[in-house]
Amino acid sequence: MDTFISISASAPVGQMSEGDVKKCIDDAFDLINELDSQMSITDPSSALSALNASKAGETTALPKELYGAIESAKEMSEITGGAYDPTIGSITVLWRYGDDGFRVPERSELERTLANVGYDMISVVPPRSAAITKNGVKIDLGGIAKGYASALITKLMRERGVTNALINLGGNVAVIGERPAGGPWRIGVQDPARERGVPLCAVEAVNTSVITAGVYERVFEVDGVTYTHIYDPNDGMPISGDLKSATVVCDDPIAGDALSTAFMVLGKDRSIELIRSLPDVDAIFITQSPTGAMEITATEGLSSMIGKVSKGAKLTFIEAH
Amino acid sequence: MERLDGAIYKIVAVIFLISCAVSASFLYMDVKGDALVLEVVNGEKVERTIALGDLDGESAIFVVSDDMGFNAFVIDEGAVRMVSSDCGGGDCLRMTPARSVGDIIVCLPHRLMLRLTGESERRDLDVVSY
Repeated sequence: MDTFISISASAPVGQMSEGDVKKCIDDAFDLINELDSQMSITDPSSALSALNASKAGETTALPKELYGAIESAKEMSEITGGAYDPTIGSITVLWRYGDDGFRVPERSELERTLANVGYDMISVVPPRSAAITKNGVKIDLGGIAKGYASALITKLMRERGVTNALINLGGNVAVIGERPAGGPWRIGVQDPARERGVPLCAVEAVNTSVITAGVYERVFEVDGVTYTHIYDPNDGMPISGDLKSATVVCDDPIAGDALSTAFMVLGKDRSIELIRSLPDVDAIFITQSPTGAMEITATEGLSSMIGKVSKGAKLTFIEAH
Repeated sequence: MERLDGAIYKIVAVIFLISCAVSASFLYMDVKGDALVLEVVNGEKVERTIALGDLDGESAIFVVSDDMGFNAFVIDEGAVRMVSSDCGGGDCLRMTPARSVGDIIVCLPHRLMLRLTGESERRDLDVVSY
């Protein structure tokens, strides 16, 4: 997982020893490495690469973690109506992002490749196999892998007795309980206009996940045009528009990860419509006005959790549930 | 110790770094003590910020490991110092502990930089979601 990872954890004396806590964190990192080795699309020896290289209709046996991730990815695709779609892999490869640079593909290439995008071309075969139903389909779990890892880590930690934990997988945050000193964890939400680590606002979080997708991460420029790393499964193009980031606050980090990407594809208004059907999901949308000012739109469920809004940013709450 | 009453608290951090050049740009501000924020820098990007004040005077060790090598640094009594590295030369281990805004500790072979800043807007946060 080519990203910054940090995990802190604690438990009451008598419930876990210092060594137990350390071992739990070590096991979490081992789990991350295992997931990374299974889900890599650049490592030809990974289980996901084997599935992507398989012939149409050929069933591939999968490790249980990868199987679970693909099953979750397909479920989230259905929930989002395909705004999140793990078969975006062939489009990602076309733009060559994360490979040996990037390029802007021809329209004809995009149209040909779009025929290989569609989550209904993944067939999940219980108990632990999958197949792609068309040659050329490539599954890319980049939009869900961190959330999936967070879900497994929080489950592991809770089972071991951890009562307070902060899991940060490249800005994809999940927390268990409260801070060790008491009170909610304070999670900043990146200011899209500033360097990484500078927040525009913050969320108080207990037993939840806070996951952000934004267009300021991993952008590239060709002939004066800036392209983002999030692709619209409908046209294969990098997304554009005034929505700079979408932050999802929900108990399930898998849903949070997929939804944050889907919201960037859908845009603010359509995302809010989707949230109305998702009772446990709240979100923060950051848009940029024509004057350059940042505008924060948060669902009302966050009204008691959001704070520390930077000077100059406008905050609006909307009813979504 | 108040923060730790009745609890064991251990922090282990591992950073997988993409190789890129270390930038040495930083701000000088008149900030001391618990307003200090440590930035772990990967190239031009800040990969993590740690508000020293959040440790409430407790020590914490952070482990940084990737394909390029291993570093460990300690935050103790308001200062940051590198305590272990397999970088060969060990220059980072001999650098003066960072105590004030603008202080940096660099491990060039591993392209890792620790720098102290003092932006108050970050100090009350545990982490930033991006």
